[in-house]
Amino acid sequence: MRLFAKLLFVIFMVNGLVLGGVAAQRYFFPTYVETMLATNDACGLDCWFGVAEEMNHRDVAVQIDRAGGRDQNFRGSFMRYRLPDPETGENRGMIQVTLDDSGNALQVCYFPKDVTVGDVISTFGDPVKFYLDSNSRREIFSRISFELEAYIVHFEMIYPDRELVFEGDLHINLEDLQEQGVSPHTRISLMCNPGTINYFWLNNYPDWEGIYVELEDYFASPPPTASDSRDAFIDPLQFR
Amino acid sequence: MLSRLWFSQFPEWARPEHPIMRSILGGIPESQRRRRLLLAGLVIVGLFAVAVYAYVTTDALVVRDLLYYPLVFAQVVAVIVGLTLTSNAVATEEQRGTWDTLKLTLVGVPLTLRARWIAVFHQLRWLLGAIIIGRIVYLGLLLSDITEFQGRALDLYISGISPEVSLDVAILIMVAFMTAFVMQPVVAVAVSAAIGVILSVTVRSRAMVFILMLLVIGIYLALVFVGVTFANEQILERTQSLTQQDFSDTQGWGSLMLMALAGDMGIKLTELETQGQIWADFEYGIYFGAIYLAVVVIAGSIANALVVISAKRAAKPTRT
Repeated sequence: MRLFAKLLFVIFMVNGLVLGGVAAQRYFFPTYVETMLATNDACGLDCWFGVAEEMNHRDVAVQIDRAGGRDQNFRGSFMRYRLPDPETGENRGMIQVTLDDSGNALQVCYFPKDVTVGDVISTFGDPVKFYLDSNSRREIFSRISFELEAYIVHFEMIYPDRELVFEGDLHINLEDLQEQGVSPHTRISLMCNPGTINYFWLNNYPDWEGIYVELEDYFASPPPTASDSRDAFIDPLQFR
Repeated sequence: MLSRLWFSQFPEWARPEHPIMRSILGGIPESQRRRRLLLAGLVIVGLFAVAVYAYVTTDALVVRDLLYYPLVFAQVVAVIVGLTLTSNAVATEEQRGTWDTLKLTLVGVPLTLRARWIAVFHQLRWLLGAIIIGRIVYLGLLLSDITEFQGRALDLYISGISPEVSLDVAILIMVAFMTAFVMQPVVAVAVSAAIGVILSVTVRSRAMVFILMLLVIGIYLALVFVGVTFANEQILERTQSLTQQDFSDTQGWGSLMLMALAGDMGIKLTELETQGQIWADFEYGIYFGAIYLAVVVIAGSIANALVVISAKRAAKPTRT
């Protein structure tokens, strides 16, 4: 029995050291979102790709060039860039800067290819609101399974205090919403900051409860018919 | 050198060079020793190849699937062999004609029975070693899950769970889970061998011992089957059938413990996403790791107590 206790103690300590080391990784590596957004020291995460609010469009171009963005097109009040991976050259996403009437930066949006809910939460912490737009659901036709009621539903993650909004699509099965939650691996399709986020229905949006919490909790009641009062986004991917 | 250090931790009577232990273990012929070494080498090389494949392809899912059934099978075999090795302990001594002599001595019977119990670990050391290495591969995959999001994965999974716990507590609970996960096959063999000792002491008829042994093995296999299939399905797969019935926390905890203790001995729970779902779904689910370790420790203590009690009982003079 003494040997058993000794063995238990040794294994516990070794596991503790290994797991402690793994968890300490956070102190040495910035999050994926921080690395990718090429934030600068002056404005940190409030200033993506070095683009600050009310920055002149020429300065925006210079800052995004520094962040590694490649000019895509410039139409009216939208400046669009492609963000290639510095090592592989593969496209990591699209940057869109919205300009106001005077030609100054108003809002920076990023359409990432490989950012997940987990990446966002590990960078910005828990969101304040999380909203599943039941009106946006689209049916998934599966060749394998016909009996499942699988849908793609649009979601929004909101940090009103920081004026941050993240959007994406979630695969859900309407039959057992209680058994499903938001996976940290759910892809984010749009990140916007800073800007003129003026959510008309914000009070109706459900509060964030956590990862893997029943999806039912995230349907707003009554569900809003439109997500916000911003100008509609033009998906830059359609211009490719 | 290492084995000398290892065996120096054992009580003297439990070391392989002790006369009682030597008489139980016997000598192993050179050809058999070589065959065992070759087999152990193959298992280690195989597991190493799988681990390298996992590292290179970063496809942990394939590795998990590849190792799962061989490991469950090896665990089941270890438990069953543990039971069979001790269930004839008294009958073997009687057959050798040493039982009555042992009963005349003060410590002969308790020492022999405890030595027979410990001998199971010596006899199964290669199999247990392979099982533990296999389980360490799974722990490696769990650690790789924890490194996700630059080491912040645990923070994500504890967000919104009930009751709330700090990251430090979550790390401690994970350490407890990992410890229990490594120790469990050893404890399972200890328990099965202890049951074997009880059988050999309480039932004198060899035929009866055999029948009872089959019964115990049958119950164990049924529990493993239920643990690997139904409990797994309830906890992990959440099929549509579940939506038609209420899945209470008690049921959930029952399935979880069955899956961890009898089914695959917690292998499926080494996926962080699965643990995260359990933490979110079950009230107090976050404490599973700590409870799992407590159960493993209690089971180990019970096995030890069973052997001590059986030995005392066997040492009592027989009424004529």
